[in-house]
Amino acid sequence: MKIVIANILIFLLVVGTISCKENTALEYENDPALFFENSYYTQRDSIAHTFFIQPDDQMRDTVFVEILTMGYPTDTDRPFVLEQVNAGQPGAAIAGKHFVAFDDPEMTAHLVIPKGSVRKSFPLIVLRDPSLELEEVRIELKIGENEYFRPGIETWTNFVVKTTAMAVKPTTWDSYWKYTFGPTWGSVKMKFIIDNTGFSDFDGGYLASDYGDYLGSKVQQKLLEYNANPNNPDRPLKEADGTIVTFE
Amino acid sequence: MKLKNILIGLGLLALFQGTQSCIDDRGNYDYMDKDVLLPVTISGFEDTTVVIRSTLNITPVLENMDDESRYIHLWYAAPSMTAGFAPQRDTLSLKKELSFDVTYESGTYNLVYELRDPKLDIYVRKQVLMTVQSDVSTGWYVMKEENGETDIDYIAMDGDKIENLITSFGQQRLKGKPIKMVYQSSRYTPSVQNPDGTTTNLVNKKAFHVFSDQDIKIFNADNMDLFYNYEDYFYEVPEKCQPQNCGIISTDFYAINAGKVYSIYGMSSNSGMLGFAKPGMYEVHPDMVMSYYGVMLFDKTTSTFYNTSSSGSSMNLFSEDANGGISPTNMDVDMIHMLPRYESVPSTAFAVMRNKNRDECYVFDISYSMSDYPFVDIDTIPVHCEMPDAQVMGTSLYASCIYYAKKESDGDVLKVYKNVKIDNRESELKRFPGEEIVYIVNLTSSYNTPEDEKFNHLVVLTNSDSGWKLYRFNVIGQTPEIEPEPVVVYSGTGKAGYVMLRN
Repeated sequence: MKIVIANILIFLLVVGTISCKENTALEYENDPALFFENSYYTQRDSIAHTFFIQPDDQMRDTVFVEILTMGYPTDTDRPFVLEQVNAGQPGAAIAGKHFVAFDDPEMTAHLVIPKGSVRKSFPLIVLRDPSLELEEVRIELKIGENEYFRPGIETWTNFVVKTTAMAVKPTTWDSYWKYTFGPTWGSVKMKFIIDNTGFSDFDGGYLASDYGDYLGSKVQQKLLEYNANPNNPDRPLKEADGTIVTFE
Repeated sequence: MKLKNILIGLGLLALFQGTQSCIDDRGNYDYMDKDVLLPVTISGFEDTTVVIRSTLNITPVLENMDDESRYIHLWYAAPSMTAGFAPQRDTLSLKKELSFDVTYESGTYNLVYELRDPKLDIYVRKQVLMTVQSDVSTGWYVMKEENGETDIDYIAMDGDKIENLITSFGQQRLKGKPIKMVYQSSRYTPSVQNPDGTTTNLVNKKAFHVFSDQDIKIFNADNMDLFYNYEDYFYEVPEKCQPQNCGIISTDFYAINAGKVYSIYGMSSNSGMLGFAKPGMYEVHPDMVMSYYGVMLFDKTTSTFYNTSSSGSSMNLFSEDANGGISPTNMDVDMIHMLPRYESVPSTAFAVMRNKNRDECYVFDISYSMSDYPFVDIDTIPVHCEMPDAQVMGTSLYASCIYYAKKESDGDVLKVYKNVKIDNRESELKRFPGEEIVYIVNLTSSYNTPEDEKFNHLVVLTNSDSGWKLYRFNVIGQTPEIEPEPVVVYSGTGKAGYVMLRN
């Protein structure tokens, strides 16, 4: 019996001693990397841009691509590399023709994560080439590697910017704008909304709900008035394929 | 070595381990009673009630002080209840004596006095409940016109009166003559501009929506601060300024301007502003009947009853009668008046209508619930009845009747049209010599009014050369009849046009 008690005491002593071992915290190993932001509320994996909603004489526009860092922020600026991976392929945007090339002196200052920052709104400058009146071109982007950053989260290191001068269905039309302007979408309808409300920021954030209601009611009223006006030869307003424009 | 010695050795080792594990424990202190460290006691004030725009003076009584000059005094207040955000502390004074000009909105606040010993960095405090009341609260709001402008005379439930409420609070009167005002008891969320140009969305405000025939203003119902003028009340200011009606039910607000219908859906975020009118080529009659699902209106251009909701953008037709009753669409009648009775689900109302093609008028008994067929009964008014020609009408909450004003040479006469299928339906209730009846309404006390203060009154608003008068007559049971003498009469200057009961 005494041997059993002795064994129990030895066991408790060993366990008590082991359990007192100093506990050290896991430390993060800094490994700076970059990836494209991917969020339901900001940007997903692509942006569709169009000059359609801009004045006819506007020849340049800026698409902001959100880039996030991994690792600690630093107290110095850190250049990063952005590459077009579809250059030369069919439907690819051409640097200098459809967008300002990344090695252009105008752009190099923007290819930098500022000191102390963990994100960058990269301004991709698209150019209104006449060919965009008839086609849409793609800029397939990839995070490159340099001495400061490696590509980060693998599935979010590729990003697509599409641009055209034709009407483009906003990426959130079916999940958001349809509740304001009705489920159907077409270029004539899009132009009618812009012309009658002045609103064109379809890729911006969500609107205050009563402001959205205001826009929706206004275009409905304007369409009623348009279709009731005998001076409008194309009434009721239609898309090119004959689909009647509605907002309900 | 004997087993006994081994056991003793192990026991000592365990004892040593238990002892050394406490060496670095710095959690043991000497404890002193707080009354020894800071023996000061605070008294001299308790829970209090103050009125907006008054001054609250408090001098706390401090006992067991050593050297009063070395202590730091702090008075602050914070809302006692908030929803959706943390209460913000508001510093009122850094002196011992509090002199606070009450600028808060009505509500309850925790009022705290704190006395800090800077040497020990400890403090004692006393907290009481401060209830802030507005001097504008439940009571009667008479909208009146003077010199082409609209103001409000306010009579509290106890009879105290504030004349010219708008100007007495330093605000500008509305242009034009009174149309209507409504009280929104909560959840008004106006967007106000800060001095630095930024805007702040206020939450859960009480508001007066005040409409004249040429203007609209929205006031804070606590302190009459201006939330909006007509020019900034709309996302897009209508070309024609012709306010005609407004109403609130639950948190949904409806307005009619120049025959167009506007709404604010209170269950989603909003700035308390009106958007674009409900789409349609219509022009509605100024009268409307609200329910918890929407509002019922009559389009004068197509002689059609419509309904719409605060959250929807469409003007909806009512269903046709399954039994072949008269259609509510493209009717051959014009609307004289639509008189709401009980607004809920369903809502009830009478509509007095005139035939477009022959000299015939009708009373439509209406039960409004969403888009269901709305007509319960349609009765032809005998030709000799004078009610359809009256300018001013009101109805009863309980009895099937319509009160109206009959003009006579020596002043208006209050009469009642009983909606029963007999020939002699009209009778006189009360004469008002030298006075013109401008508004008739049946109003009751709120459900939570003490039993001895409950009332069911027919309220008659009149004008004369000497100003306005408001008569409150007891309604006899649930009949159309009233007691001949008023329970109370209020009076004031100017030409009244509307009275609102806030209860």
